[in-house]
Amino acid sequence: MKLALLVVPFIFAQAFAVEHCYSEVVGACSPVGGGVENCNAKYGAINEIHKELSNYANLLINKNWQFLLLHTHFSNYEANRPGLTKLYKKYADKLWEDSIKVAKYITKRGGVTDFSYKKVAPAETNIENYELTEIASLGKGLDLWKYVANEVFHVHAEVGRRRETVHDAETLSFLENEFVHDHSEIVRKLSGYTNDLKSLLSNPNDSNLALWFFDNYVAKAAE
Amino acid sequence: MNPLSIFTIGIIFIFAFNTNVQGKLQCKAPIVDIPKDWLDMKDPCVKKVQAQVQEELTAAMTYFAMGAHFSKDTINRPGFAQFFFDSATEEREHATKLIHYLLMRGQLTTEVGQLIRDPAPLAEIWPDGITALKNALKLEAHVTRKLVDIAKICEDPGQEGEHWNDYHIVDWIANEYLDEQYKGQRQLAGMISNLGKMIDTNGQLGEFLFDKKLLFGDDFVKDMVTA
Ligand SMILES: [Fe+2]
Repeated sequence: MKLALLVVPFIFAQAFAVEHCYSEVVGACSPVGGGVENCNAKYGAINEIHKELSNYANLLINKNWQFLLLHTHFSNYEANRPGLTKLYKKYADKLWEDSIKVAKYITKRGGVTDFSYKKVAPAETNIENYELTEIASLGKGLDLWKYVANEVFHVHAEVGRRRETVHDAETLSFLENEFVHDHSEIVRKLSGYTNDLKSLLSNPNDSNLALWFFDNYVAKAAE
Repeated sequence: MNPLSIFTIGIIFIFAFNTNVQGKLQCKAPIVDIPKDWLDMKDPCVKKVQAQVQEELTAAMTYFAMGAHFSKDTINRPGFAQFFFDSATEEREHATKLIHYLLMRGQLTTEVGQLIRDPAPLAEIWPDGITALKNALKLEAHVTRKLVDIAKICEDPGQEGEHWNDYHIVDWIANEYLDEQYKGQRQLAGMISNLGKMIDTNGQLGEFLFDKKLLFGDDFVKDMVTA
């Protein structure tokens, strides 16, 4: 008898754990009625990480504005670098599209995007003054993309832990397929550009022509 | 100090100086003297256009939030979500187009950081589809008023702008922006009208069907039957 008392609630708990939505729907259809709060797309660790993902969506939106402004600076008639303009616009557009992807993914998993949840970003990821030289903008761009890439690794690490309550295979896969590979390509490209320009600018007699030529090359490569 | 040590110090000095030169880059391009006669936009007009960038981006973020809201599993209105996400990207393009206009007129050579100041959505949840559409229409009407303000100020920027009529931007705002605003507002009003009638007697079913129409377009009944 004592054993049965222990076992019965256990069986009930098990049944509810897997059929929460079902029992709510049955209840809602009964004469008493009721809500279906547990009929949702939440499973895995989404409750643990939808804040992290919101933060990431907001971060991508913020970086998109920064690259849009870098594009603006190099598009003015004094700076006038069509190659860098095109490159930074491409990055801004990608960041914007990616932020929409994250927002859609959050809802795919039953979460909510919180547009005001922003963790404090390190000071070096801000841009106080957009009137940067060509090489300084490449250096800044590289730092920004590394931050964007490292922040994905951070979320990835959060959901990659082995404890079941926080592990989320679907989010791992989403982050890898949609972001991680793209980021490594972009970081590599910007590092290459920065180092190229560093060698090209090392001879003061070449530098003005080198900048013009390099920008034309970037325009071609960004097509 | 013997001559040898002076020689040694000299060598070290030259060596240090040389490495310094080798590591130093010529990063800054020279400043070119470009005539300023062609820069004829007046300050009050420029400021209005600059402020409009943030207006468009606030609209973009509000539509972004609407897209996210209607994507939720418990709301599940993919047609509305798609409509609003597309609108968000369109608003961002409106902002970019204003920036490109200013650049074409020789503006935005300094302090571009002021142009975009962390735009945020005006709300993050809506009770239903029709409320969101009504809010969208009100938001567009607000944006339209701001655009008309630009035309007014640029047509006569006052004493500060020496009463100089900037024909080009006034024409451009009317043709490129106001045209799209009025057409877009008419579209939203029509949507609210249809949806409003549908939900008058059939609330949930009306919104469900309207959403599928948004998602699949005009052939949505055929698409649903043959799917
Ligand atoms: Fe707009």
